[in-house]
Amino acid sequence: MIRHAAPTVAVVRLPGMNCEDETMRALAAAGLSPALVGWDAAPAALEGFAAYVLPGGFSYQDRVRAGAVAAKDPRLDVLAAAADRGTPILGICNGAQILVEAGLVPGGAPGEDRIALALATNRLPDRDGYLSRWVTLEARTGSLWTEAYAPGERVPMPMAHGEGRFTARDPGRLPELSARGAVPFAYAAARAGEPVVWPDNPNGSAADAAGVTNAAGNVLALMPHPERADRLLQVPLDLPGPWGDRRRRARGDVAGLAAAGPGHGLFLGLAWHLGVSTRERMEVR
Amino acid sequence: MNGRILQLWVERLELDPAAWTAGHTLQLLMGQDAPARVGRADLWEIESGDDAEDAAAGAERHARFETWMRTSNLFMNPSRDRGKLLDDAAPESGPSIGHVVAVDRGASESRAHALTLGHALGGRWKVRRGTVWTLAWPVERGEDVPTLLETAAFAKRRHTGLLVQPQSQEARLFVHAWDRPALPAADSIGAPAPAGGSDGGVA
Repeated sequence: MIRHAAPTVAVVRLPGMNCEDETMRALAAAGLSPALVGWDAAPAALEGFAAYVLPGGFSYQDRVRAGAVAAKDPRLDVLAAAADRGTPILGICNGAQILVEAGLVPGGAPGEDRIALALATNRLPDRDGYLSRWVTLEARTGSLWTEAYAPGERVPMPMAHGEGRFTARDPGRLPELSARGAVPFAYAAARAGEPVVWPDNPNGSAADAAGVTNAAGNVLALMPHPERADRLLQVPLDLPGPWGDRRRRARGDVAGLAAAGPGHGLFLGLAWHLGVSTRERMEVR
Repeated sequence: MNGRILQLWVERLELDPAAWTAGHTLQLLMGQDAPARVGRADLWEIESGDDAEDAAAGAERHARFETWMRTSNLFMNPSRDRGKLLDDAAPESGPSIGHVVAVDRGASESRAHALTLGHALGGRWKVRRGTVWTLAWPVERGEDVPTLLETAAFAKRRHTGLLVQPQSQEARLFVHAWDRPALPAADSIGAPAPAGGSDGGVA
């Protein structure tokens, strides 16, 4: 039998990032081969990977604005060229902030580097700033990143950020992107059909956007952390809904707790897109 | 100038790491056109709600606020910061020095600070906050400073601009000039840019 090597995904670590280990574990669990590429490697070391992930953290201590300094790193030019070629690129939390500040999301014509969105300070009912909690996302169809989820499936994930509110100077920009299918993950009420209110939308994001892609859909800037929900063990015992039920049923079951969690579907979608043939579905009813 | 608005300038006693990183990043982006020095400060604009206004009342309010502010820790940490009430001018000024004054759109007003001030000093107050980036070039670049300041300020593209995100922030630029208030007025979500453009134009 001929075994093909798993596609290699670069996890790009810039100074201050801190989620690379769990991101690499999540990629490996989906059948991919993660490779850590640090800021001390030459930009050329980033050439030739099947996909790229910018993990979460606090690159450059969030100085100036979250992601603003990292977005100017020459490594982003390599990623921009890869994005233009259709290579999948995922930015999680701080990685998402970098992709937006670098103009890769929502992107433009090849070679275009215009910055057309912002991830601004969270707007909460009684204050502005950092918030950490589990949120419910609606996985929308038509994206490689949601391929492993059922249409409209409710996906719980943790978010932890101070600057995660998708916004644009033009108030119609995010609704337009959403209508165009560039918002594959949206903040949602736990039950379909219920209105989205705070804290369903935890930061005041326009169009309830939790994740936004470029026009081609291969680059995703996602604020919640799928890698922190990759295994059932990571799901809180008091989480309501089917994933919480599954977690509670697995209490004390070591093998069961190591099973896939709700965030795994995103990495699985990437693996399928790259030709890894695992056909496990993420739907939980 | 509006005499009812106090301007409190708060900056670090020691090197500001964000200013240092901004300066280094601008060198990466602008090369020889980069500013020689970058500073950062918080700018608080504190407006009294008193309707009747005269010079004596203004001076008295100024003195009460300054005394209280230096002991309250509400606007600055005295172990880390120095605070200065401005007198119609920025602390540094000159033909080769520019200021970028930025606010987060729709989020510059602090009701918590205004309420605390009301409890401490009485009366009604309005408090807004923003960030001031001070960029200094060599004196011989003086004529270029308005253009260079605008280039450094607005992050419109990956390869240019850093200090202000026009998609979520408003900003005013000053070269050898200052205003009271200095914080941009537009403050609502998705508010259109005021005439003259808050992501362009230099005072």
